[in-house]
Amino acid sequence: MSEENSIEKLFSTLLKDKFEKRIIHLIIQGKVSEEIIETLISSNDKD
Amino acid sequence: MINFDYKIVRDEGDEEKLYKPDAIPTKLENITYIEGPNSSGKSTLLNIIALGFYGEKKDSLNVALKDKLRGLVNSHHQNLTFSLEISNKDGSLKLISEKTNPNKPDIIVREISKEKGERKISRETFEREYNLIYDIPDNPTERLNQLIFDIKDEQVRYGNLIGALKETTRRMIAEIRSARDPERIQFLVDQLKKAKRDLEVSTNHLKNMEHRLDMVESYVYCRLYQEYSNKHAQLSGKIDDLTKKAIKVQKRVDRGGITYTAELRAAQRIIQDMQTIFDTITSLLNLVLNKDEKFLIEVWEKIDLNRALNELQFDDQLEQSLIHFKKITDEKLDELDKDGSSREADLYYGLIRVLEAFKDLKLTIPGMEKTVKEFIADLKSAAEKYDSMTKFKDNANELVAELNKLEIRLGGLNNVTFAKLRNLKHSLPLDEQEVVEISQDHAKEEFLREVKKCKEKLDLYETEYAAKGKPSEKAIFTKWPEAKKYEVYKEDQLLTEIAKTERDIVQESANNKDIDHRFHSLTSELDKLKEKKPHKYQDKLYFLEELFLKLPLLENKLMREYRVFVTDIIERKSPSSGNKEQEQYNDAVFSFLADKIGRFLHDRNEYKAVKVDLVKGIISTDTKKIIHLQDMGTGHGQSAYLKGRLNTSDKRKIIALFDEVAMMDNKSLEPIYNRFRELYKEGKLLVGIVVQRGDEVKVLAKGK
Repeated sequence: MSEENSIEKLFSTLLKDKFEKRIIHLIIQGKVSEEIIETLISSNDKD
Repeated sequence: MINFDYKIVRDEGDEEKLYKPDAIPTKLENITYIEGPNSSGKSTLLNIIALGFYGEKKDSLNVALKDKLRGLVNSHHQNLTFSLEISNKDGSLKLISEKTNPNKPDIIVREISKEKGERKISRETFEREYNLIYDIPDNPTERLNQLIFDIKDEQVRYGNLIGALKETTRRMIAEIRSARDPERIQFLVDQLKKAKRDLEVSTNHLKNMEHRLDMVESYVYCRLYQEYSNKHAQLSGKIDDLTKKAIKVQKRVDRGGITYTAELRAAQRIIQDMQTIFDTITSLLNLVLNKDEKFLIEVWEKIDLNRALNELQFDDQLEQSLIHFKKITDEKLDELDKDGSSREADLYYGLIRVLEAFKDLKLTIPGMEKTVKEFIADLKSAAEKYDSMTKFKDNANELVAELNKLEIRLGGLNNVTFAKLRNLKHSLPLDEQEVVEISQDHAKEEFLREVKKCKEKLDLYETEYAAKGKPSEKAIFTKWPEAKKYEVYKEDQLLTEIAKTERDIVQESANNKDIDHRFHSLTSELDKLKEKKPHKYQDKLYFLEELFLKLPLLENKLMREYRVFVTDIIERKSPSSGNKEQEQYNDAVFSFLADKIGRFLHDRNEYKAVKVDLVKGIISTDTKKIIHLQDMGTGHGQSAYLKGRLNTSDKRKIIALFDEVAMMDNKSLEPIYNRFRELYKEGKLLVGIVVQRGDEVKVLAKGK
């Protein structure tokens, strides 16, 4: 599936907040809650 | 590869008939086209695959199809058992679904993968990892609209997942808060140190206060016992005198209407009042005069006021003493004012008085790092050195006031009453026969009351003094030199000092208990905390709290705001004028739908969709051509719709089942197969079966 027609693109257009986009991205990737939190914490640490 | 088998035992009234796959092979390629007549089992196969993978509970499934699935498991007239096994192209993944008991609706779904081994797959896990698409595009134009339901489903699915994420975040925050928190431990250790220090200070303070009370009481009872002992001895000596000594006055004949005797009795009452003032002055002189001035008191105590009643004039010594005492007391007060310590004491007591009204505030005074209560304690401690001076000043002022009172009464008697009596005495003829006594009974009663009162106090102070072990004054001063300052205190001031110290002890005891309680609470919390293990996200608490605040906003957006917008599209409602949020939403959704359809055939030409406006019912294309949905050929419409259904956006593995695609010719079906193949190659498609009616059973593998 190309990025152009993905539902992620739809939500990326709809949501203005970067953090919200990131959460939806992780949900679309099929991550469960614990994985999402871990990823968010990890990327926050890098920032 | 798809392996399947099933048995349906159906009660048809006249017989029980067994249905099983006989026309269609039980082994199929993952991408397959099946054509056949009615009752050949092609739709039954699709129904069983859908049922086997939770299709009955899938919200977005066509209602008619859902009814068919329910009929398979819930009908009384038929029983179903089946087994399904689907493996991917390299055999690394197998999905198995079985219904082994014909009388129970239970279906067990399992997954065997190289990555995760064998595991049972619940409906929630299946929906998270697999995507069942089962459709009959019987009315393509209308069904194209149904692509929007996919968005609605996704929005709700994401909303639910965010709800779950919010719950997990909340749980983690609670876990961190109750876990071993090094910062909290450090905080408690610091607090505990402070509480320990406070407790030591308070306990010492309390001990000192109790010692102080003991010493104050020893001094006070020692001194008051001695004073009352002396006073009682003095008074006892005077009782006899009073009984013997009746004032004998020669009665003069009262001819002019003026009662000599009445005037004399008035003078007697004034002298009794003066005697009380005289006694107060004596006691104050003992506190105010220096040791080298004490001889003046001896002279003062020899003055007998009652004698004036006989002589109709006071001893000159009285007036001279009054003047002299006032002079030396004023000098002492002037000296104190010059010293400045009096003003300093005023400042301390003034501050304490003001702050007492705010002592319950938890405020820390800037620059001092002390609470109001602690500051008051410091001020009181600092003001203690002025106590003696303040009491001396109070006593000196009282002495001056009492001296003035006595001076006024003295002047009144000398200048008015005694003058009148003297005149009467000289002008009235003397009746030599009559000499009367002016009764001293009233004065005697008063005097006896005073003696009794004195005795009671003496007994009280003797008991208290005995309880303290009757230490001598010298021993008290040696043990506690501070007691010297109480030499200038009067009896009431001394007793007030005891009461005040007792009150301070009660207050400090309460404070000590509070600190002790705080100390034990902190110790208990610290012990409990030390037993716990630290949480791996201990230092991420702030981040998680931020996340917990943000998630409800996103959840609300998906579950409420976007839900309203998508429902409006389904119901063909245009956004209300000026609702930019909804306009932007619609624009994004229409572009998304166009992306899903991609290239499509219409009127023998291929177009690329740019926007699918479901409210207006039009597709805008890259060639600026606008195609109305109702004008699209049925087969082309079906093709566009099914392609749209296959253009999913997530990573879930697809099981796609398309029934009744009768309106589609080979040219319309080919884009579907192509999409199947692409997805299969990407590892995203497990099953792709297209079924339509035909005169004969035809099964074609479409994977290549």
